[in-house]
Order: sequence, then C-alpha cells, then structure tokens
Amino acid sequence: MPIKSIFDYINGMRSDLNKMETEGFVDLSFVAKIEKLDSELSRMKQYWIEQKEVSVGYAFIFYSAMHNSNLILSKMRQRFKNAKKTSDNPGVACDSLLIMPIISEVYQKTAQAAEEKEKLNPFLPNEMLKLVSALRTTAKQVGMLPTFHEEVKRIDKNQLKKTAMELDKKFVASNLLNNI
Amino acid sequence: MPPISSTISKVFLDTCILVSGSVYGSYEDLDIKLEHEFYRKTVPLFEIIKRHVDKRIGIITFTIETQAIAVIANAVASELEQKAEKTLDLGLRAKLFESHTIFFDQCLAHLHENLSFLQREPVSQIEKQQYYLEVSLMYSNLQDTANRLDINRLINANVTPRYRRIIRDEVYGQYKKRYKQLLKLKSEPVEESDKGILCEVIALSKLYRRTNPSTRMYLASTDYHFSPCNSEGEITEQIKQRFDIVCDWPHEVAKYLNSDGFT
Repeated sequence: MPIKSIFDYINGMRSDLNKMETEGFVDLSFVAKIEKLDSELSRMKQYWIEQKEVSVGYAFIFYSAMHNSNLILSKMRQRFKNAKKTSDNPGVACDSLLIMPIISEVYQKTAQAAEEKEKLNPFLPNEMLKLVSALRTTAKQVGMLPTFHEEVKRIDKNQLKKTAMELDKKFVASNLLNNI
Repeated sequence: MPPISSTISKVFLDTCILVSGSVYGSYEDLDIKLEHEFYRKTVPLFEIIKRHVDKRIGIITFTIETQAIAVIANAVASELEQKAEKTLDLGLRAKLFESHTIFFDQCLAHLHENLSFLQREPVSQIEKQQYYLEVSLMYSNLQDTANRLDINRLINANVTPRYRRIIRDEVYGQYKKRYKQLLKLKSEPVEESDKGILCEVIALSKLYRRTNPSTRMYLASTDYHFSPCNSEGEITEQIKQRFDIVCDWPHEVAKYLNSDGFT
C-alpha cells in the first residue's frame, strides 16, 4: 500500500472508532482493519532490518518504533476480539482513539526517515524516541501495552538471554557518557 | 508576616544516576538478569525521593533528561551494531533487532518511571554562562595541580631516605589512593558537558537559596569529576568550598538525606 494510502487508511480507522464511541457499539469487522495496518507496519519494520544506507543505530530506532506499534496493535486486536465477553464495549473503542493518532504520527515520521535515508534529519531519531515513549505511556495507561511476559512469549529465549548478558557486560564495562 | 524559613534539601541527579537507576530487569522464570553496575547504589536515593515526592527533592534539567535517553539508546544501539553488521543472515538480524528492542523498551520505561518522581527545572543558557568562567577556572587550576602531582617527589619529601626503599611500594599505593581523584583528572580531563552540568547545579542552588538561604544542595553522581573516588577528593572539596554543593555517590547522598530528616 502506498504511504499516502496508509495515512488515509488510519484516518478511516479513526472515523470508525469515533462512530463506535458515539453509538456505543463495537464493530467486530474492525479487527480485520487492525490486522491490515499491522501487516503494513510489519513491512516497514522489515525494511529497517534490511536497511543498509543508514547506521544500525538509526535503523534500530525506527525499527523499535514499528515494533512497539505492532505490539500495541496486537493488544488492541485482542481486546476488540474479546470485547463482548469482557464487556469492553465501547471502552476499547475509546481507548483506541487515544492510541491511533500517536501511531499515525509514529508511522509518518518513520516513513519520512525511510524517504530521507542518508539525508536523515539528525533530530528525527530523538523525536522518534520521545514519540515512542509517549506511545508506550499512553498505551500503558489505557491497558493496551502487553506485559514483558506477553511480549517475550513468541521470542527466541536463547537470543534474549544472550542479548541480556551482552548488554549487562556493556553497562558494566564502559564509560557510556563518553559515547554521546 | 515574614516567610517561614526551614531547611530544605535538593538533590540534582547527574545523567549517570538516571541511567544506572533505569538499567535493570530480573526475569527469573526466563533466567534473565540485566543490571547496571551501579544500579543498587541508586536504589536508596530513589526510594527517598519517591517517598518524599511532595518535597520535590530530586531535580534534573532538560540536559540531563536528553543525555540519559541518548546514553541508553547509544549503548543498546552500539551493542546491536557490533553484532548486526557482522551478519548477512536476515533472520538472525531480525532476532537481534527484536531482542535488543525488548531490553531497550524496558530501560526506557524504567527511565520514564524515575523521571515521574523528579522535578525538571528550566535553566537558561544565560544563567549557565554566568558561572562558566568560575567553573572553568576551578577545573583548570585543579588540572594544573594534577599535572604537577609527582608521587615520587612526595615520597622523597616525606619519607626519610632510610625507609624509602623498604616501604616505597606501600607508600606509593597509599599516595595513589589518596590522590585518586586528581590522578584520574590527569588521565581524563574534565569535559565541557560536565562543566555545563555543574553550571546548571550552581544556577539552581543560587535560585533555591534566594528563597531559602539554608537550602542544602547535593549533586549525586558516579563521575569522579564531581564525586570522590573512595578517597578524599580535591575536586569535590573545591566544589563544596566555592559553591556550597556537596557532591557524592547516590547511596552516600541518601545517607545525607537521612541526616536531614528524610527517612
């Protein structure tokens, strides 16, 4: 899907959510829309894994932005699917309305970075870090952020352990302030 | 009616404290543990700050907040860079990105939780500049002292020739320990960013003392450019004398706060 169409798509989703909130009714067909957006964001995530024209450090920040958006969308999808059972109606729509504008902005900045590549605005990675923090904080407040254990459920545990050990060493061994 | 004056305590947290206090995570069921070398030393300080959040004890500035995020991001990204650049296998690259982002997100979440207990104070460039000259001069004098520091000469001047050969190694070790802060300054001169941080602490201490002259000002840091390194510290002493700011490690600052009545 072209980038502009994705923005239109997200805007359409926001209108759907507004309607659900006003009518007090959760439309289950929205689950398919979340899945479609989720797959577009996954595509963008993959782009940053493969990207070689910018440093790994920069690519990681935009990857991380997409990863977090995916995580939050997966929780949103789960809540929509269970909305009837858990009497989350129209709560899930109201909560999603707080999340969607931030996801839209995160995607917009990530797409901008993908276009700019090596001409990347040097302030963009920092802006993105702040935006992702805002996304996670808002998602946590409205119960749309998976817990650590939910997040690592489908992840390679050996790789996770290895990374933890290496980071542990990193935070012990170096004077990190010298590197900024 | 004149304002009621009582002693207040303020602790400025250096970037290293925010970073150390945010890098941790223990997931026993997964047998995973990540902990910054100095994390445990920050715990008592953060506990006091959280318990007395209404007193606004813990303070930071925009500089500190921005640096802390950058330090964590750079540490994780550089570790990932080392691994990811070696591999052409996209599957492995994806796993590396994924595992790094999980810990990165956890650390940032802890950082934001810590930030929620701290007061962010604005300090203008003009306010900072007011103290730059004095701070620069202080470090420059200390640097000169450090450069002139000659342990062999000190031993020759203070130990009689008869004992010099016998106890030289022991005395050498003692002097090295005694002048550790200066010796470190000699090998790693102070950076401009450290001077900038000290200027911010001074500007804030002046601001607080304008409304409450008996304000006790602390700078919690693990950086030897401010805090002592297991010995008496000439830099620490100079900062105390010139600006009435007590610099120390976070667990030591927690003890000072205990004495100030914060338990």
